[in-house]
Amino acid sequence: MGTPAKAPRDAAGHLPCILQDAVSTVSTAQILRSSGYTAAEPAALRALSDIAGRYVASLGSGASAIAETRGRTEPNLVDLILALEDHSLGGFPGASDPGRPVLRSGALSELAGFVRAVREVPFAKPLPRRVGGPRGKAWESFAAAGREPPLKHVPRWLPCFPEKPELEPKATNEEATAKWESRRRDEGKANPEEAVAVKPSGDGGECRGLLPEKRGKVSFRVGEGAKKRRLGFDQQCGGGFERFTEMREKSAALMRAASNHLSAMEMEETRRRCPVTPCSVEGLNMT
Amino acid sequence: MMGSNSAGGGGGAMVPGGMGAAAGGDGRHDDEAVLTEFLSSLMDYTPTIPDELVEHYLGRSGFHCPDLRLTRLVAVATQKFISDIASDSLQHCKARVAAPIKDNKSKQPKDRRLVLTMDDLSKALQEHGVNLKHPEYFADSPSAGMAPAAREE
Repeated sequence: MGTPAKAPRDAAGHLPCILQDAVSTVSTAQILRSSGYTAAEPAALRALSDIAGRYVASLGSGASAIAETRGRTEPNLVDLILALEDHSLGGFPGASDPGRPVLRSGALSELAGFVRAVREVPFAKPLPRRVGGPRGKAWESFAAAGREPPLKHVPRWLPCFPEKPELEPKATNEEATAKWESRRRDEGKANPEEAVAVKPSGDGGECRGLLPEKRGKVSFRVGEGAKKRRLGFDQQCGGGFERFTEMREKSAALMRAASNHLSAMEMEETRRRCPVTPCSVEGLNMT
Repeated sequence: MMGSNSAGGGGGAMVPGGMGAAAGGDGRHDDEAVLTEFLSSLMDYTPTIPDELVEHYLGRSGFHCPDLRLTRLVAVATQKFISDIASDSLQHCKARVAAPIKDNKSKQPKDRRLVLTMDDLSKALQEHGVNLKHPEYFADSPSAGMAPAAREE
């Protein structure tokens, strides 16, 4: 959760991900500004706006879970208040009374106090409204639509079934076969034309879609021996590998000779350049 | 029960009934009158978090309710949550800005502005049940290259 997700999530929502992140960031920045900040680190702002979104989603899922526990499909004010009480970690006034009426909840009165205390800062820009009206009207139950469900065991509170599209009359087997054959024929006709069109652009003069009628046989042999293959490779490359190994051996010999020579020369030279160390060594040896 | 409640705007229809049934004593009546007033005032109040954003997140979490007041209530609750966190981290920020001046006068703070930083935010979020960690080698702020002892204070 350190770095809020920037990658696009599922495309189920109506607002695009980038837009919703931007809106959330701007509104969080407005809240920060109204609470006294003048600037914010981008990472912190992003994290806080992500947390705001998660808080809203958590409230919503809590309220809808409470509603579903009580056998309803739509959450109401009571469910939302209970969810708010669940989310107030620091406690709220009146929480100690287990028999408190829900509508006189301390969480709600705290919110009322907050609304009274805080200056109203609307969002900076008007947002585009979703197409298709408010979400609640997106589907309606059989009861709301005033219709009877088509099947007896379907309860009336379920949303209406989608309208069936007009089905095409099912094709019989012969018709389907005829259709398929005609399509094959059409493809056969179309292919030579394609080949003609492709030929000038193709590199080898052969078109890609059609195989040539005759092809030379290609045989593979497994386990003939690795030596043979390597030899073939070297010859194919003009013996470069052999030459390379020869050169390497030569250079190694040269290096060896040179290093022998050098070591002798170096000893001489070091003795000439810095006579102190050898002397001390000699002195050590002497004692 | 199910049929009657979900048939179009069940959330909104529930509120006045509940109020009337529970209005027994005088003190209670006052409280509930205040809350009813508060709920109806939400229709005119515009929270900083826009309704569209709240509806989007609510819809993704399975909350489908046509009542605008509930959406506004969620928006207000979220705004309160965020501003609580902001004020907490502002306290941390002010304490951090004020502390080094007493310690060594040679080092003047270059910037007197109040900036929301990841450290303050994670400290404030800890009290609200969110564990947020500053990424360790995140070369975003100028203090990222400094010694860890200097950065933590």
